[in-house]
Amino acid sequence: MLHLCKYRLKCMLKNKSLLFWTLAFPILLTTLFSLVLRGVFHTLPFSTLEVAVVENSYYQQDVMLQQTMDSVTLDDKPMFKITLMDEAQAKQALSDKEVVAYIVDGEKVQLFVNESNIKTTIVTSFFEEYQQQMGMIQDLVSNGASPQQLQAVFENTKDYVSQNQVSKEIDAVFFYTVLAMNCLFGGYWTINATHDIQANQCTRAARLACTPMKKSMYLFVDFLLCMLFEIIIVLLLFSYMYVLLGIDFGSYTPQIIFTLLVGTLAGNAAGTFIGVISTKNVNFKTGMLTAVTMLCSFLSGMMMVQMKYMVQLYLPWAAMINPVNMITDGLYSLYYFGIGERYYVNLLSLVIFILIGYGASFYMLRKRQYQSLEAR
Amino acid sequence: MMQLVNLYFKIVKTQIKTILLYSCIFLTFFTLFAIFQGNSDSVSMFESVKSNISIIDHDNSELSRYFTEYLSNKSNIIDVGESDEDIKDALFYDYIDYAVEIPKGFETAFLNGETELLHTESRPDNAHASAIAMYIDSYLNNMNVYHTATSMELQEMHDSIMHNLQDQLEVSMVVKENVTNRYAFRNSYYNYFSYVIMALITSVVGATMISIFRNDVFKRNLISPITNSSMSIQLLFANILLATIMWAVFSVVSVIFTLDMIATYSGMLYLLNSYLFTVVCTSLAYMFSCILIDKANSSDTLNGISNSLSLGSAFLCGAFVPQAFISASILQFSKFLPSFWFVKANDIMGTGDTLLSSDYTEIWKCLGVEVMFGLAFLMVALVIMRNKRSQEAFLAPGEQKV
Repeated sequence: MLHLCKYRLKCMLKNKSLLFWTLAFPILLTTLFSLVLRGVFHTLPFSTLEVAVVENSYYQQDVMLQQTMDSVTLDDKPMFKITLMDEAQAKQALSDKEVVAYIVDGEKVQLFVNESNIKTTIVTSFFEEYQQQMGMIQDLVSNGASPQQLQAVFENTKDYVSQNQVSKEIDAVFFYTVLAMNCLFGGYWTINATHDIQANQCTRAARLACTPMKKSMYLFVDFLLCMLFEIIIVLLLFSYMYVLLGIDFGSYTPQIIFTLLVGTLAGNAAGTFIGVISTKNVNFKTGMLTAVTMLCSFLSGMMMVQMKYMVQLYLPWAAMINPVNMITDGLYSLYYFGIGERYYVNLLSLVIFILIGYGASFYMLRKRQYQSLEAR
Repeated sequence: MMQLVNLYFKIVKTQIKTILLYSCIFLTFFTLFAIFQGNSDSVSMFESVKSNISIIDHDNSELSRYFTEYLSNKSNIIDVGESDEDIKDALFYDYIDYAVEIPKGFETAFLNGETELLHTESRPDNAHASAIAMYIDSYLNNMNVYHTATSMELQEMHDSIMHNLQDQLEVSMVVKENVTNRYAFRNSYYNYFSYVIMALITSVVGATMISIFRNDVFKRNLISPITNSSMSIQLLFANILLATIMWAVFSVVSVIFTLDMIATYSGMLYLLNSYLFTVVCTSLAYMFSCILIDKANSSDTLNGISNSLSLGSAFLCGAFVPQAFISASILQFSKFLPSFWFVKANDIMGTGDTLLSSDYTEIWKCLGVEVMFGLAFLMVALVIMRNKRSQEAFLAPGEQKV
């Protein structure tokens, strides 16, 4: 058995192309993701808005508006930084993007903007609210409220919201999908291994079938080596992400490693299944595993992280049968929610996937006999 | 005549699966994109940006319904499920900016003058969330003002607020925005094109050239009656022809998607830029095939190089993520890759048809750099080829020169 291990290991180490796809390619992808994608999805915080006010006699007398614009804050920052200018200057400043809007005060406030975005929306909303309050004051005065009452009411503003902030980084999911994809890529090794023991697929296997060693022994050695190989690769990739790139995985490292081990087993089961299901050549089978893995990775958010959520929301069954998503979601739930029901559900789905994969494969492989084998 | 061109396309035919795979994925993706993004014309009216929020109403009282109605004016209310996990998921994936939970007894507590009534969740540092928090505070404070200063009923109070809100503010757009969705669509089509065409051409042209240059086959071809120069010309022609066909297919699709924009100057520039880039990729592929001819496992190596290079270029040069989001130090490195100049030129053209003369200078500069890259790859390839065609290079291992 040791002899067999030695030679199978040599075969694997000499397979440069597979080493590239299972080790170098994911590391490359991770590096690119970390260079480019980190920070792209950060939401933009509110920052004080630069606005121009056209200086006219109306504005100079409008003490209420002046005071409100000077004192209003959002997120503990002053909402506006006001510059007074004439209309031509204001127009120029707007087209040069020095200000987000300019205002002409009058009977009705006129607002000029160049874009529809959150900044101009906040400016617009402020003036809508301002007008609303002016309207309200008129309502109250017509209802007989005295100026003192009004002042007391306006000074007594209340805080109605108790806010809870969720600070987690969405870009972590990209790295989880790469890890999950890599777990499945472990199937490439198994496809090669199962190809080498099926006598109807290669001459080497036909020769091996004549040896006194049992097929189950070949299968067992291959399983051990493929798993060992892939676990090392996945852990290398994980360490690269965790230690060198500093990706946030949360605080459950043992559980993360366990999830990756189960994921690797799922990749192995998928590879074995694809390896025995068809009699076509290895290239066809690896192509099949690539296509399936890539589709699953796409649906788990590797190319577009929101895709994972869309699938979960609109096609929940597709998320439930997707092994890449089970691993990604397992890692995500550990990161975001900690150890809980969702984590265990993902693990359980992976175990079911593994059992089905191996069960079907062994059923097809067992006691296979050939009446005649063409030379290939 | 043209035996080598025939041979070339026979070999290309064996790689039809790769070509179809890349093209189909790319074209399907963009067809879906084109269908979903719809047909929006240039923006000339100001429209406030509505943030997405979720509201869970446990109170279901008069006030909570009015409050929800008010927020639906200011934002898009989206149903993402009711559990804490559903809300957290939606916030994490940026599907909603803000989540509001109205607890039971909200109305009574409000009328009794209590504070901190609503539980909300948002991601930190999000201007959308700050805006929603501002609306909520403003509405409830205004309701409170009416409640303390008058004897109005809840409905009257709400109606007054909504009435004052309808007294619309006059907002004008000074300059008509030119960057429409369709300009953005065309730009991203061509930026993604840089990935697909590089991956396709380096793998297909590279593999074909490796087959043709393989030592034994090439030696056999050399003793055929076709002259060396005819062989080079035919190969050059075949390469350019294949590149042109591939470029034409993708260009026709882009023309179909953006029919009304193609007859413009920027439309023509996109076509020119993409054609130049295709030729640069061809010369890159030629260079790789020259380097790899005599290496063991050359097609596997080529496959690895092709994938790494096309994916790496696409990420680092701003084809997948806009250049504006990529850090300056990475872009400094990306300048050594042809895709950077291709994407840069596209992004300038993508600003619509209001290009300034300085923009045109910049575009021509980018195109010039692309041509330089193409020539440089070709030169390297020719030098390598020259060395590999010496008599010594054709000797089999262990064979002695006669």
